[in-house]
Amino acid sequence: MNNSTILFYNTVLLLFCGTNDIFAQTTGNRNITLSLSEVALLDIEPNINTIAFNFTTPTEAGMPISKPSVNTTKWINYTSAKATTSPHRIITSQIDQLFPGISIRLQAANSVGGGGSLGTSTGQITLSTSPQTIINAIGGAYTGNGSNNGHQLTISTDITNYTDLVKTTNQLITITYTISD
Amino acid sequence: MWNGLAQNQINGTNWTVNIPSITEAGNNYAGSYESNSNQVEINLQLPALLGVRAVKIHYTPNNWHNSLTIEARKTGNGNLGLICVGCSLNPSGTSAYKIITQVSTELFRGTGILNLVTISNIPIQLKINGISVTIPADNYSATIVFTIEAP
Repeated sequence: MNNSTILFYNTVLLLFCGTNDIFAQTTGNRNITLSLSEVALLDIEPNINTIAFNFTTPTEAGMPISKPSVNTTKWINYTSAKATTSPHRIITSQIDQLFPGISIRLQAANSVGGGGSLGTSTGQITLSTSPQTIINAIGGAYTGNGSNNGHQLTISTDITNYTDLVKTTNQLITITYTISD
Repeated sequence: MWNGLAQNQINGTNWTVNIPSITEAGNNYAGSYESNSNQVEINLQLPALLGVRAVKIHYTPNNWHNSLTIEARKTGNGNLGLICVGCSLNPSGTSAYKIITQVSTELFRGTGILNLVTISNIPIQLKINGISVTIPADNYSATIVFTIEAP
């Protein structure tokens, strides 16, 4: 090996060693951003089909009209997302008209399934044409979707005053549920 | 591709997480969302001889929520230069997701025996978990910090 060859190898070696020295710590960054909006969704499951309450005429004089059985087929589902500064949400219920001599009662059970700060039932109410709270203290929460998720509704009817009763066929009464702050 | 003059670089773009709206009452968000598979691309220059360099990662919260977790993974090996003897990335190929904390931890490392080039465009994918309506509605932000250094 002559001198020029040795010089070449040494130069290459020095180059590699020198290259090793240029590495310092390198940093770089990227941002992640996401926006979570307020959400207030509610629906009735499994559907919004009409519930029938049939009062049966007695067949024996002196006996009362037979009340229809309690209905427990409907469930309230909701999704609620709110800012920390926003108040808890409530669900209210009301009917569009009264039926003379008959009251309609409604109770939301405590929630089944879902997660988060689910609401609390306020117990049984007698529906009127003014909104009344049936579930309160809803925070950021979701009930799950469909029947057997959320708050099961128990709807019942009572005859409150026989003197006000009038013969009616297929009187349609609409119950409206609203979620709000 | 000859990248002999290139240096360690963190490329790619910021990630704005696209979260579809909830359209059905009772539902929650999906919870986890992934960025593009090459949201971040790293150029890694190894020392010329018997070089090892680690790519570490951590995040700093700007406006963040403890329920949100960030993960990252390498989704490929990038472009190896022609003069890169014994070069490899560990783990190789697509790695498993690794949870990113506020403490810098190694995501992957590159090693080589003789290197005169940069391993370029090593793709990094990000993932965020824990998105839920149970988290207060707000605008959240965090900064992902990549560090390339000797392990």
